[in-house]
Amino acid sequence: MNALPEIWLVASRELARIRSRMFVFVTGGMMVLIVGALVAVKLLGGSTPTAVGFVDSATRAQVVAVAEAAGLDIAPRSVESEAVGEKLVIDGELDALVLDGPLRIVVEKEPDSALHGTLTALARQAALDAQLTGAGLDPNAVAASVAAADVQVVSLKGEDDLFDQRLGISAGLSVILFIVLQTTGLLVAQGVVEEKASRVVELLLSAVRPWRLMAGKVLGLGIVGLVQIGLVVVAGVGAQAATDVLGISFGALLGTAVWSLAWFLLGYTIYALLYASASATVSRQEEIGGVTAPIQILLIVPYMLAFAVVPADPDGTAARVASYIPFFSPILMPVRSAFGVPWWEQILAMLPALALIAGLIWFAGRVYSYSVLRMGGRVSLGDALRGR
Amino acid sequence: MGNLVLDRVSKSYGARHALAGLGFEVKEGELFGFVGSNGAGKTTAMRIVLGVLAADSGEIRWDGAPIDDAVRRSIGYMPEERGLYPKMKVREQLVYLARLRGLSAAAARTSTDAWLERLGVAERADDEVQKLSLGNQQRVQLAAALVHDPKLLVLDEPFSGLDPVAVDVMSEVLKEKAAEGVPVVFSSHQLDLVERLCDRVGIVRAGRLVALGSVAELREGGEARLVVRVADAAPDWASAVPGFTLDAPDTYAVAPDADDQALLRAALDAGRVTEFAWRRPTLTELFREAVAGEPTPEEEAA
Repeated sequence: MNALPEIWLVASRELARIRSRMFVFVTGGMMVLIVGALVAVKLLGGSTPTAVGFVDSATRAQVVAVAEAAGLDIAPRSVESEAVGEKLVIDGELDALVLDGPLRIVVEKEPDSALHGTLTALARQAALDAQLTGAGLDPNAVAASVAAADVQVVSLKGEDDLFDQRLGISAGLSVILFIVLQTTGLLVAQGVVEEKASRVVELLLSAVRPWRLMAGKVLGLGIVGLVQIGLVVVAGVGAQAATDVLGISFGALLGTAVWSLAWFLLGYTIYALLYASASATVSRQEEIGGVTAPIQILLIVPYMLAFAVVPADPDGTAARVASYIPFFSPILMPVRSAFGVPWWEQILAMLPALALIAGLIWFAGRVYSYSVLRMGGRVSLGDALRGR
Repeated sequence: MGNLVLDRVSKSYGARHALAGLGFEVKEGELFGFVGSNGAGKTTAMRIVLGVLAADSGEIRWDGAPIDDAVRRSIGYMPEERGLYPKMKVREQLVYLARLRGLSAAAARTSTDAWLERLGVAERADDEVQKLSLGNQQRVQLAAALVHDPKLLVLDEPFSGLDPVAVDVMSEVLKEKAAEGVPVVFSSHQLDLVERLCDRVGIVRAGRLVALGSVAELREGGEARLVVRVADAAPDWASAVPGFTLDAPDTYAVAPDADDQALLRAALDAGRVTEFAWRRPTLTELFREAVAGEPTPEEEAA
């Protein structure tokens, strides 16, 4: 048999995992979580209006008008007296009580900063108007010309009103990528050790060359992982398209999704080859944890960097350098791409990753072929590489 | 069909010589028994035939040409360390293994069902292998060796762990495959089975073949002994006759120039002779003789 049909035959046996309860449970769980989060934000969404009490109706009208102009969401409420209003503030029914002459704001502890700002502006406006009138000017005319004056904004990096939303997407992506890379990598390790532990590997190797057996397993479980992450990403993109809670354009989101899937494939290949070679050196399922611990730690590093370094400055030197390191790029590049990364930078970062994969194919093929028939104790990496 | 030749095959693990120039031939339709004590190199030799291990030197030939992957894929193999996917269903597993050995999906299914039926495990076809009894797992293992209609059978201890009924089924299947022209090599410690089934036997010790031939030839070549029973005789009645040494009760090793008639006369003088017979050694005795005295490879290495 030629290599490709044989590798495919081995791979297709692994595809049965898609029907396994574990796969359905984990994938379904992640889909429900991501869709649920977006729908929940949609339903509970919008900040609750600030409840503000007024004793004087003229003040009330004035503040409401200014607040509306400033885009401040307030729920005005008239109260009979200052004392009643204060009681309502203490009881928590009012967020603030606004009193006139001079303008005062009564709160339980600290005022809502937006409301405070609006009232300050109002007080200053009143003071200004008084001065203008005293100087013989028409406050309304001055206000009109002041309003017309504007400063032109030249944003070199582009304005980002949606930073928090992008941060949310990047955090979600790093969690999903981390979980799927970790679980598919462990599936590879378990599959390799299952064949060793059950001794079926000798029967398989009498028909299939070792590297083809490994390649088939890595390919098959890679498809399983791609289906898993693909379903989760499609669920996320679909839910965003339906609810539009994030306010990010569909095109931008789709771009991030496609880059993420491409990076998953690279990341999966890197980590699956590492997991396959490490697990081939042991013979029992219990030993997987020990022998794959360094790989798990290696995978945790970019996951932590995604939270520790990228949000502070997605295009900063630290984030940029880290996202070019091949063991880290599969998580950090998609995470950065949520904030917008030019396509050429994505491609550039793929070069070291591809070079690493080429090296790992050689490494894993050698270690796996040497170790997979050696039962009992753990095979040393040095022996496996020297081939004796 | 064809024939299998192992030509001066050697393999060392570090300082230990597992195989030291092992060579023999298995002809078309021949049942070849491969016997030797543990560690003699039987499993290593079989693994090298299958290509699971690489020999340090020597060659495996099929029909005169060095064995290649295509031929190897057509071998039916039962490894010493039995193993199947524990969580895979019996039928799925056999179909998969048959397809790995080059059968089409349809042919693999047909053949799987036929062998499951033949080996009496058809009703377990949709169960996971781990749910089967050990005996039934062995039957599935045999089916895995047969399912792709092999051109050559290499079976490492195929009878170990089988119940008597399964032993009979296995024997029948091996004879049947040989009758179809398939060369069959198997190793076994059950020498009575080997003696009964095999056309030829090779005895291996420390990675070398020390005896090779049909069971009859080997027995011919072995030293015949004289069994003489004399009722009411003194225990040392034969000591006066030169060339005979007692090495088992009533059984005498015979020196080349000894006179058996002299022994018979001495026996008649000693008492009532109830038995006087030449006896060829059994395979078990030949085996003991062949492997006795010299250290096994493990002891050599130690």
